[in-house]
Amino acid sequence: MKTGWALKAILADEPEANLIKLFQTNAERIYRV
Amino acid sequence: MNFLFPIVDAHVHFWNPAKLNYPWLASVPALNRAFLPEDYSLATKSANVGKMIFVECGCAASQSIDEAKWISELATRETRLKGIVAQASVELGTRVTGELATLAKNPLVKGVRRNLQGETDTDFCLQPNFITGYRALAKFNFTFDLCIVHSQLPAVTQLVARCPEVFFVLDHCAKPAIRDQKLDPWRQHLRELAALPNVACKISGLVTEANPARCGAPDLQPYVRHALDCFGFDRVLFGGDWPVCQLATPL
Repeated sequence: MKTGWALKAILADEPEANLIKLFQTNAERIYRV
Repeated sequence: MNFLFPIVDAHVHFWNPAKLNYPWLASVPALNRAFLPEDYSLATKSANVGKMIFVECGCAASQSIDEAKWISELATRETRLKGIVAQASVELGTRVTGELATLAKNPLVKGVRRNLQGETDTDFCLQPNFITGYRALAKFNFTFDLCIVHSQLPAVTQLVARCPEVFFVLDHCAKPAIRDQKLDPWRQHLRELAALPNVACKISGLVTEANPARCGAPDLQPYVRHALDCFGFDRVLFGGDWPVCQLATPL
């Protein structure tokens, strides 16, 4: 999970919409869950 | 990770050596015990995980169906477990169809993986039987998770190009040489793969590729930024790679 914490720090200035894609909706779409 | 929205951890492993045979565990004593959903919940209690995807754990190939069945049983009590990337012997070519058909009866199975990272022949995945086996995945609407090291990227790019009907997920950004702080030729090879439309990049497992003393955000940043630059925010997904990540860090 530390990769996730690092990601959050690296992407601190990204719009939330991009973070939602990375951390939620892309996986839901690709794996159909 | 305390986001306001629940995250999807797209790369979680569970294993139990008392149930299945995992040949590789003998050489990794730190991981040679059962890792179960209860352990995951404890390790990730500070993260807002809403869903998780189980990825196969290298059990004996003959136990792939048993592994998917056991994980489905776990999902009845760990309801965040929404998908399974099962093991399948795609190198069998047309003979993998029976295994895929059995897996497809399990609604939790969304994709398959046949770990390639240990193959010393970098063109291993381009053998004719492999290509035939990969193409069979489309019939079942299965994705394929590519677990490779960075030196295998050129061959995998050929593979992905030859199978446009299959959607691939590159695990762990192809394990770049973070420990050696090397970016090239990984950078160019990743860009060539990302030019193909039928592949996404899982940003996962990076901490275990780094020097344990230097696995924080500043050390991972060049690799993360490049992966995002190549794939864009529409084709990247996060995976925690628990419990393998514990080799580098407690979380």
